[in-house]
Amino acid sequence: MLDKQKIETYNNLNHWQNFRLRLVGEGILVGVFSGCVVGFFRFALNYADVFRAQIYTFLSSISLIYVSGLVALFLCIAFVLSRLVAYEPLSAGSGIPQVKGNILGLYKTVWWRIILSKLLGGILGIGAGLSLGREGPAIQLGAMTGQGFSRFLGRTRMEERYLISSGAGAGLAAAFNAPLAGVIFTLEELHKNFSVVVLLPSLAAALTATIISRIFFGQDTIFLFPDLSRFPVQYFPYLAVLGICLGLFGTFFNYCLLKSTDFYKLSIFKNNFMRISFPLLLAIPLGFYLPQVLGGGNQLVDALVAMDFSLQVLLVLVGCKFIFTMFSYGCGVPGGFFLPMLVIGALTGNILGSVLVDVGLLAPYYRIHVIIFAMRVSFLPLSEHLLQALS
Amino acid sequence: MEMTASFKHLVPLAIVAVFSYVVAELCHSKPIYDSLLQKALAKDKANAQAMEKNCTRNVIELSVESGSFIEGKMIKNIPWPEHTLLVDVKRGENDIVPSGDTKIIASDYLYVLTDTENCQRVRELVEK
Repeated sequence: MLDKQKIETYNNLNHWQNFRLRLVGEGILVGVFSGCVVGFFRFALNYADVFRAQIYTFLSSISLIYVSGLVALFLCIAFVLSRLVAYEPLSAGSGIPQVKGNILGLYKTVWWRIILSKLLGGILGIGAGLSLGREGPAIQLGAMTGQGFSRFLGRTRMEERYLISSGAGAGLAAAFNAPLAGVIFTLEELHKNFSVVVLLPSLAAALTATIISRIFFGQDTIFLFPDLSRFPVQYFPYLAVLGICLGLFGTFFNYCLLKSTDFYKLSIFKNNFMRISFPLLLAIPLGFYLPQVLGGGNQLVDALVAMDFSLQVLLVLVGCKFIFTMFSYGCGVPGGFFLPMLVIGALTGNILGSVLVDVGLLAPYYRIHVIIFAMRVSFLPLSEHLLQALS
Repeated sequence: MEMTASFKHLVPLAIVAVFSYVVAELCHSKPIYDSLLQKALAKDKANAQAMEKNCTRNVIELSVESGSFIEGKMIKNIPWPEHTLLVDVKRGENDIVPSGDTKIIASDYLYVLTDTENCQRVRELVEK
């Protein structure tokens, strides 16, 4: 087995040209499979969003007693989630660190177990309203699809790593309908270099996955912003202020996120079931009084653009979203923090924009620009993905 | 831009990006996914030890950046960890069959056969 691996690896290195071309073909196929898996994930999450809103509307129209039914349902979900994470510990959390570890050769993974646990866990957790993102799970689902593909064809471990990274990029591309973002993620985060062997299959996979996702979900971008005119040069100094605010805020978020698991080490939480129950039960009152902070929250960004919220409302939203995201991530269920961070960034930008408008420094029309800039850059201080923020 | 379907805002966006990046650097903020991976690895150290027992072999690709510890060194003078074998060096479009006297330069891609246990050590050697 080992010798066979060695010989094939030598062959690949000797026939480099052919190897690269074969990777493009394999990238396309990985893109098809990842696109389908992540497409299903997205579809289920969209459906869960609608279903959740209906449940809360229905429950607020009838007697409060029936809320106990929802509590029971959420406790069941917490139980299933705790079993899933115990079944496959590598499916917990964002998934991106695990994919990185995988590509660095630090983890041995069983791809189908991770897909199963991540898919079900992600849909249940985010569907129930935890403030978690789909990008981390989508990347890991794509990566594990790539690994499954490689195992199925009996490829070498060297080749497998390229297929895993192509799958990861394809997953991100399908989740956000953004092929460039997927490719840049693979290069910037997973490999930290710009090797052509990584670029070619990743691009092929990301493009295919995007096409698949467009067949399912249409051509629309993930955020619906109106077509805006250019940002005037005389306002550019405010951009520096915005950048500094976001840098500080991102550093704070980074610190809190790493500490968020410590909260769950308190002795009142005796086991994982209790840890996961905590944010799920917290989601119930939020569902009645502040449903905007539940789930990933991309609809909230669209709402910010369409409506002009008052400063008080924005401060409440950003505070609650921040705290609830920390509780949701810290308990260790499958789900990322990229989308929540974008929403928090958009809220921060909106607050700064509204303040500038109120004191008369900024024309009201450009408030939306500030929201977009803040949202796009918000993740940069955390991840240091400079190119990703611009793509 | 892709997510918002507009390429008009590149310049202002880049300005915000650079400022936020510099501020985060000044605050010594570390890339979050690296921190999380390290945290996860530290947590299941017991797991990792079990893994080392049945460690698998891998060919890993490493890029030599300028300023790397091994840049400009001959292969025989580099303190490779045990159980590592440099199998191929790619320089641009050329393949170099490595020998002890081959000098590594920046922008080379190295292909190293190693096991899971020593993987991280090789990486640190090349990237430090």
